[in-house]
Amino acid sequence: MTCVEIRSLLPFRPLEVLEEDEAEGVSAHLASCQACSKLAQTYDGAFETLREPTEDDAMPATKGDFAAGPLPEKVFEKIVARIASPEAPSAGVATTPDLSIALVCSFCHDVLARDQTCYCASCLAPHHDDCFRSHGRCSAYGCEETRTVRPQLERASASAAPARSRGPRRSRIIALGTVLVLGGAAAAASSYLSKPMTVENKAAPTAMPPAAATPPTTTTRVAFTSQELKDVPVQEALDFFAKNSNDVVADPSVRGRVSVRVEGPNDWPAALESVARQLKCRVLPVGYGMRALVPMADTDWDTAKGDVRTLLKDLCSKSGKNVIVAPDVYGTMRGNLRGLPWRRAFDTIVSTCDLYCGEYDGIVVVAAHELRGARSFDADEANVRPRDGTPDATVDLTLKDARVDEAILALAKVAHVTVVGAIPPSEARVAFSVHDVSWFDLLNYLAWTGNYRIVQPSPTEISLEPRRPHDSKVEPSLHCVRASAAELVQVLASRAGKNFVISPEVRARILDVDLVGFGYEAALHAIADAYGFKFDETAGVLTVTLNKEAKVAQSSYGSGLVARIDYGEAVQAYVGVVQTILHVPGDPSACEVLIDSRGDGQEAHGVGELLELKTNSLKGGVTQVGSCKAKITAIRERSIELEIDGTWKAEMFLGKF
Amino acid sequence: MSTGSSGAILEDMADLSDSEAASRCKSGADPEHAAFRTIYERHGPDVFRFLRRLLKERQAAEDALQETFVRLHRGFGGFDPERALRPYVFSVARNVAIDVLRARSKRERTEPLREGAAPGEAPVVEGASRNESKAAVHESLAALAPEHRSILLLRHVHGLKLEEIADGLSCTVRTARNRLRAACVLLGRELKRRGIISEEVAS
Repeated sequence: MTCVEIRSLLPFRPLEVLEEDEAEGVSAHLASCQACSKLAQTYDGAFETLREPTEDDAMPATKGDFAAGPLPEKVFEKIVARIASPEAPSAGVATTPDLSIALVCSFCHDVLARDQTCYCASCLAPHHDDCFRSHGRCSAYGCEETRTVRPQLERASASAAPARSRGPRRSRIIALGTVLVLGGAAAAASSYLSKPMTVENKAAPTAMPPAAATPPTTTTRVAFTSQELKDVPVQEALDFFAKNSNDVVADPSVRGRVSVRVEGPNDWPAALESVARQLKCRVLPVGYGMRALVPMADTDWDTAKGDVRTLLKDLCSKSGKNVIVAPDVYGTMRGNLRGLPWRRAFDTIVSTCDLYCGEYDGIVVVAAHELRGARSFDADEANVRPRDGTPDATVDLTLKDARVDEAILALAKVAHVTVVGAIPPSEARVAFSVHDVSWFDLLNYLAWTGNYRIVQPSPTEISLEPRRPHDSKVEPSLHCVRASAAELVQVLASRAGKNFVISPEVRARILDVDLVGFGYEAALHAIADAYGFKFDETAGVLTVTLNKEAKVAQSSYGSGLVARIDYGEAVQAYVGVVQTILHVPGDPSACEVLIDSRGDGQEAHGVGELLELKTNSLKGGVTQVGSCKAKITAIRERSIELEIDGTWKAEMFLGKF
Repeated sequence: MSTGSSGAILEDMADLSDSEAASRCKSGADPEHAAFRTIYERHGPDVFRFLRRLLKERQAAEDALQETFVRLHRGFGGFDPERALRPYVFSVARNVAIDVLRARSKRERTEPLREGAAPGEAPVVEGASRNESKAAVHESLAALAPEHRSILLLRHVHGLKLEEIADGLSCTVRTARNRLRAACVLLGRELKRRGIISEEVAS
């Protein structure tokens, strides 16, 4: 060890917090280096001084209840008195009651007073001011925000000077009274004008104007007055929004009571967000003139430092799409995609990352290179505007707890639109009361809720098809991570009933595929296009070679571990956690392989050791994430053999590919 | 409670171990607070000294001592008597002291800086007398954040083991060691800033 290294360790020596090897190194160095030894003595002296009593410590001996202890008098009596009467706090010390619900600082986990709390500007984790400062950023795991926000409450209370509180308060009460009277009158007038009924046809659909590219504006129907709702049912709050601004619909599952205050005509979006937060919902813009409150679901993705591959796969799997992401798609992206329809999020990522996207008979391929055989991936989601010439008439509709397919029929009736074919029944139910909204916006919402896809053969005709649900039980399904290309092509080609030959170059490739309900040939072609393979079929024999012309980067998973799982008929599983073999010491038969299962270079494993692995197993077409114990049973030159859950074996290959 | 009976009970309780005393407090079998008093007598002086060092002001330390033992008594419900009591008492005292210091720093932020309290004005004590040097060392400690100061005091002055500190802070021994090391580094910096430690000495 050098002098510089030793000096950095000297402060730890008096407190005996050196590691064993460090202590040995320091002792050895101090014995030989006079300068460092002198410095060490200075540290020792300074730390020894700390042990000596200060002037503050030198208290006169008290004649308390017990003579020897230097304790202040009568404190114990005070403590006993306070224990007996738990409400009496000590002067100068904040106490906590026996049972309390309190904010806790994310950093020090101590209780927070609301007026002392600052919140992370990104994740709203509460902190003490000084905790946030001393940590330098948010202490929530994975959050790196360095800014904080404070609740409005604090500003309000801080700005309220006691001397001038009476006057404004009185005037506010008077103003509030006026507002309530005016608001009540306005509400009464409004409710008189628009009588709710089960199905009301207000629009005159015979003369529907053509669709206009109107901007998403806020239409105020009643002269707006400030209003406050306190602890009202959610439907009442939504009616309030509908009467004063835009229509808001809510899923029937969204229930509860809310309080909201709206100060002016421009304040309603913030107020709606507040309502959504109270109901643990999010606000989904359904069209130009309508918003929906939907429960927080898995359609929110926080993509802070998200891996593009994972994100694309997540998006597609949640929408029920099969996707193959080519190996040349890699990298991370930052941002928040919250409350977006999956397709919009998907398009955003694809266009942001300058990727190509195509479709093979239901299998979406995303690649960084141009896709040759794929057809374009058309939008098939409900969140599209009416096509050219589609009437954009508005309707009023009130429904109380109807099935979505019934609601669509009712909407078609009031909008004078023909429904072509039968609408598949839906289990989802809706309840809403909307006024003067675009019928197509409402249709979009209903289709989104009922998981339908809108097909619009003509401006006045619609038909609805069910979207393939995510948990489709349609066979076949295939899930593999970092599988050998030979393995996978073999499975697909044999299922497709083809004789095949795989070139050695292809054998060395690693594939990453997760498909549910697909055609074997389509999958083969999609994989070929994504990974740059070439298929030639001559005399009934499929030859799989590497397409030299395809500029596909093959090294995104260049080195590492391949999990090759025994593809049985019933069990499809893969080992997804073991990422990288760090090191195989000289002789493979020495049986020591270091597996970095967390990517931190800390874990070492050998034969006979148990690994905790995450697994994905397939049951009824649904991928289930779980974990299993795997025991390393053999370590070979280029692979490891694992026995997983004591029932089946997997072989993991390692090496450069 | 008469003084005589109190004295007799105290004598009985003198041999009571921490764990037994805590068990009695927890189970409510201590109506006269005799077991609790034993705990107070046994750990109170050290805790008070610890609080004096952290809080400086005697009155604040007394209040904090009071609060510490009130919290301790109220927290016996969730305390496992098999755990060592001493680190637990110190961890409660540490939390109380940090609360007090936080409230104090908030008050001070709204007030103008006190004379001589500005950072960076610490005098260099080259060749200072023993007393001045001692004061400078204590000032260095006082300049640390309460979290660092308290952990240093627990280890260095009150002699808690790393395991006990870890137990009190509800963290692993390694984390406790790392926090101590961080505190040491900061104290070393303060000492250097005040001229107590000088790299020139070594060179």
